[in-house]
Amino acid sequence: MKILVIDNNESIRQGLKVSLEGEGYEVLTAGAGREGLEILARELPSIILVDINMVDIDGIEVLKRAKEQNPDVQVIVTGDDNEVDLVIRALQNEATDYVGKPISEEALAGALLRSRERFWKDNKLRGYIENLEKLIKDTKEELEKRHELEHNLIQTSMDGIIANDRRGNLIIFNEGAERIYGYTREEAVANIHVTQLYPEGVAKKIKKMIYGSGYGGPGRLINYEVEVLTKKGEPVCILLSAALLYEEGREVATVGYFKDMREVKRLEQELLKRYEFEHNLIQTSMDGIIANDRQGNIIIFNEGAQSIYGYTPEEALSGMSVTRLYPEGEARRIKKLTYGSEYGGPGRLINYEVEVLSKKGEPVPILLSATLLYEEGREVAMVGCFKDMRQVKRLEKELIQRERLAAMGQATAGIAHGVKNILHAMKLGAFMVDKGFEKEKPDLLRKGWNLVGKSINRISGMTLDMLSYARSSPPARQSCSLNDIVNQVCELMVEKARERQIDLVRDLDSTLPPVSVDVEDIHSCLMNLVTNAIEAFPESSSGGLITVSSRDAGEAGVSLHVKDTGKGMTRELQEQIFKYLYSTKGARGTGLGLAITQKIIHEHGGTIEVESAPNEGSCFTIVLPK
Amino acid sequence: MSGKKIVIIDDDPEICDAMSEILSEYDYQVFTALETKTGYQLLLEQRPDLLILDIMMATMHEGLDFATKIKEREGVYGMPVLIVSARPPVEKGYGRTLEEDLDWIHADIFMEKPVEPEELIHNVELLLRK
Repeated sequence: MKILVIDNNESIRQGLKVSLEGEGYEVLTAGAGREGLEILARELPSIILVDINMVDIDGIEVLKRAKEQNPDVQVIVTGDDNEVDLVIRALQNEATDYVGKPISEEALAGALLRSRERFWKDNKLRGYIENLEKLIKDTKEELEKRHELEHNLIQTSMDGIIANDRRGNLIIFNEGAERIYGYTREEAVANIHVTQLYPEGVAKKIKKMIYGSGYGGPGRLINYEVEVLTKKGEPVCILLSAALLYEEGREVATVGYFKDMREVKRLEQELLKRYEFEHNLIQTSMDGIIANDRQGNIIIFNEGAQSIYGYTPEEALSGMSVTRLYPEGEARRIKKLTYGSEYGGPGRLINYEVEVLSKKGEPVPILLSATLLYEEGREVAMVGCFKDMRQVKRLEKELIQRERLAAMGQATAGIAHGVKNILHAMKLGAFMVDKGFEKEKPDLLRKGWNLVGKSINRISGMTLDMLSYARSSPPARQSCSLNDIVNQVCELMVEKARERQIDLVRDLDSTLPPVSVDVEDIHSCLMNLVTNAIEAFPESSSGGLITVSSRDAGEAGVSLHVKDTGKGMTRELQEQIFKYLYSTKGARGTGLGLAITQKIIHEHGGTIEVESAPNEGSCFTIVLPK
Repeated sequence: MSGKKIVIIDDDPEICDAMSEILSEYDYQVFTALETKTGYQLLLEQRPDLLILDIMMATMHEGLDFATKIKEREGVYGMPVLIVSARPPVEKGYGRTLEEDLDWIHADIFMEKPVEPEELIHNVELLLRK
């Protein structure tokens, strides 16, 4: 414990210091009042021993300032015993004790004891008081906070909260209630009776229900749907929960929670509307829409489906299995395809052509798209969209018929043209025969007859060509060497080429693997290409080269090339040459040669292409699979 | 009327031969060509009195263009042109009536195949009498 001794007298200070330190105090000393106050402020002693008579600041003044600084500090004033008024002043200023000079040991010990006791007492007491005050403040704050929270909770609740006392006067009316009713809180609280909030008689009924046990037990009402009356007299649908409030066992109020159901009702209506819309959409769809659950029971069967199948929705929806809608095994196949990924990915089937079975057992062509429906990750149903293809198929057939007729017309025109040319030559021939007889000119007669004969041959050749173009039987394949066919054709044609001063040469791949083809067909194709090549040279030209080559084209198959150095073709012409009845040869051509060749090559699974440029010649390439 | 020159352009050698034989019987001097290029050379060399042209040669246009070219060069009173074709005159390329077409296709006479030889002779005589 610190003790400060303030005295002008050096010897008294030292004496006190020695004796007090002997008692176990920590002793500070000051020779004047000012110095003492400085130490006091710095060291915060618990007890001060101060002489009342000092030169600068007297003991009473030091006492006052010390108490101001720290009310806990105990001040013992020393001075002359005879100066009673000073003693009184000191005690009036809360000095702990007054010890007369010269200071006796007993008097000092007693004063110190009192000081220590008072110091501890003051200190503790103040601690208690402070603690108590803080406790009270905290409790108050918390109560205020809780009250505010509850108040806010009530006020800002989305739901209306209304309480009324036992007489039915409103005591709580929050913002939610304001929104529902249109009354302000000021209008409502203490001014409106609870019965005004409901249509007549309803408040009474509700009160009865709260007391009863039908809705959540006595004293409670839970989720009761009721219509209330707004300020404007409009009914509002409310979901009401209410409870009685008790204070010390006595009923004091009724509090109600009003949930505005207008939004909920609106959403409900909207949902219903949307459901109806979707339902109508499904029902009135032009396409058939059929859904089945995982067991295969039909669960949706719309009007479109009815028009395809002939079943009424009632028939289909009374436990009919989806398998009955298809020929045997087809339903399972479709299910498999839907799970698989080849038609639009797993879980989907897109534009799959299938024939279904109508109620009468008639097949109906359908373009089917289907998809699996999932609910929370679990497959629950399969829905199919059935496009009736009967109309489309009928139109398709008509179109094919019409195209066939158009093609026939074109063919007829082409044939007529060819026949006219031949007939023209025949007439000239017959005229020559007549003239030959008339003028007895056997030479003219012979020439005329020759022309008639040639014309007959030409007409029969054309007929055969047409027949072979129209042929529908597949090629009679046999394994053979293409080189053999090339050799035969070239030997037949080499003479004809030579007449026109054209060299017909071969460039054959001796390692050519055998192929399976119709020998006669390929022979006639090659004849056609070589004949064309010869005719690709102008009448007036002298000299030319035709090369027929064969090559192993690896994976593509085996290729044949007929290349000439003749007049070549423009791009436009190249696009026309494979067309049926197209000819650049006038009277000599039927317009069938390349068309037949292409048809044969295609029947063999091969390809025929041409590369050509005007004045540079042409090269026809046939590729046949091995 | 003998010795008059006729050039025939037709891509069918059989027809060329036959026409040549027949017209020779009527004392015409006949020259034939299988295409317009050599045919044009013949026209320049022989200066014929009549051209018989098949306009369905390589392509229809080749024949028509050729006829146009010749008539433009010859003028209205120049060498007459007789066209023989397998296409009926109402088809695309020379529609309308025959009279109108004669101007348009630059032919003096148009004959559709098959042609009756007597008629052909008659038309040839008609054109050469002018």
